[in-house]
Amino acid sequence: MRRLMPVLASAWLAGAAAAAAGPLENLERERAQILATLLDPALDPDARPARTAPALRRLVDLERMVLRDPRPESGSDGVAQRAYADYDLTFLAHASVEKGVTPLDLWLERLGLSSSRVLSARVGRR
Amino acid sequence: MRCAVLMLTLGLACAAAARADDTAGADAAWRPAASERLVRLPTGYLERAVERDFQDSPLAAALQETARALADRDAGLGELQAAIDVATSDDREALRQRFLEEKQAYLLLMGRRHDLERDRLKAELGLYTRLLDRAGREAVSNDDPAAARLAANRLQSQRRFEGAAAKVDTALFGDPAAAESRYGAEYRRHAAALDRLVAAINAHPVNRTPEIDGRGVDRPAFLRHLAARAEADLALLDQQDLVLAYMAKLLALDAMAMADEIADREAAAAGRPETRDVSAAIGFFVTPN
Repeated sequence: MRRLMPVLASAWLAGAAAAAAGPLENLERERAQILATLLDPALDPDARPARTAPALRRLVDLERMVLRDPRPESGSDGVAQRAYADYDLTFLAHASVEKGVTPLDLWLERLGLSSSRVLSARVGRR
Repeated sequence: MRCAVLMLTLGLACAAAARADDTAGADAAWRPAASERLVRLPTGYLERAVERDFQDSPLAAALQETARALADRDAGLGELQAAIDVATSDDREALRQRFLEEKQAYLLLMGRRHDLERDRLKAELGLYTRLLDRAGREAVSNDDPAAARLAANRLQSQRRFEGAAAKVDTALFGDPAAAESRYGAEYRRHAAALDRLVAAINAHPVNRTPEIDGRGVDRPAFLRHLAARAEADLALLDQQDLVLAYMAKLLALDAMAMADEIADREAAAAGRPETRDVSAAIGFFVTPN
């Protein structure tokens, strides 16, 4: 039992940290999940929109929760600093509708990957 | 002898009244704290909350008690002064002595009131200074450049979102098959309630922005105004102390004059021989025996 105590304490602390995760952390988790789905080569093109549409609406809600969060963020919080420094990447759903592109296209563009650059790329060995 | 006692008593009393008595009001204290509640109160209500806190303190009770006693003494002095004017010579002296004693008691009471008032003003000034320091510290912490950058980016993001929210709603929720999320529907309902509440709070009289000379001012400016007012009241109290000291001096002079008057009259009544000039006795010597 004595050996179990530190393990239980750590598990409890980890649980508390997860429970305390703010809307920004939840937003980033959801966005990562959508991007993973959009980039999943195992999904066929017809099944992909059916999987991503409800997730996209959930992402819109999470983005709005972050933008409307009245709690002041700490200036030393690097996560918040990075998130608000790049609107297009953080609020991907809103930015993509605003710009009239798909979330995946906008994300790739922000990373410097356009369709033309991908097509002009050559396969080689480093 | 009676005069000497009167003079000694009045002299000591006047000196005590003229000097600020450091121990006066030691049991009647007011120690307001720059509490979190006070810091969060609307600025316009702050002054009233401080006044209410003071009214609940032992210092306020002592001040009220002194004010009541002073009002009684004031009325008594007026009556005595009127009685002296119409008194016959026999009663007049007793009434004048009573008048001096009453004036002495009045000065002592007024001195105590000044001490209590000074305690109140010092406590008030200390409180406003602490609140100002606290506001200053919060302003310094708001000067953090990283926090300022974050706030600016956040504001920019919120503005961009407000501009595009309707377009996103049409694009993603415009399809009848795509029902609005529970969060979206609930948020809209609560936002409408919040807007009404915020409007009511902003229009509430207690929440009104404080004004100085007809112009609305922010919290630090209002706190500085209150601190300056307490400083001015303290300076005026010092001047009133000087008035009190001069009254005490005048009282001591009156007592000395009355003592002299009584001593002269007692000497005359005792029939003490007058010390005559030596020249007045010349008649005894120039006439032959």
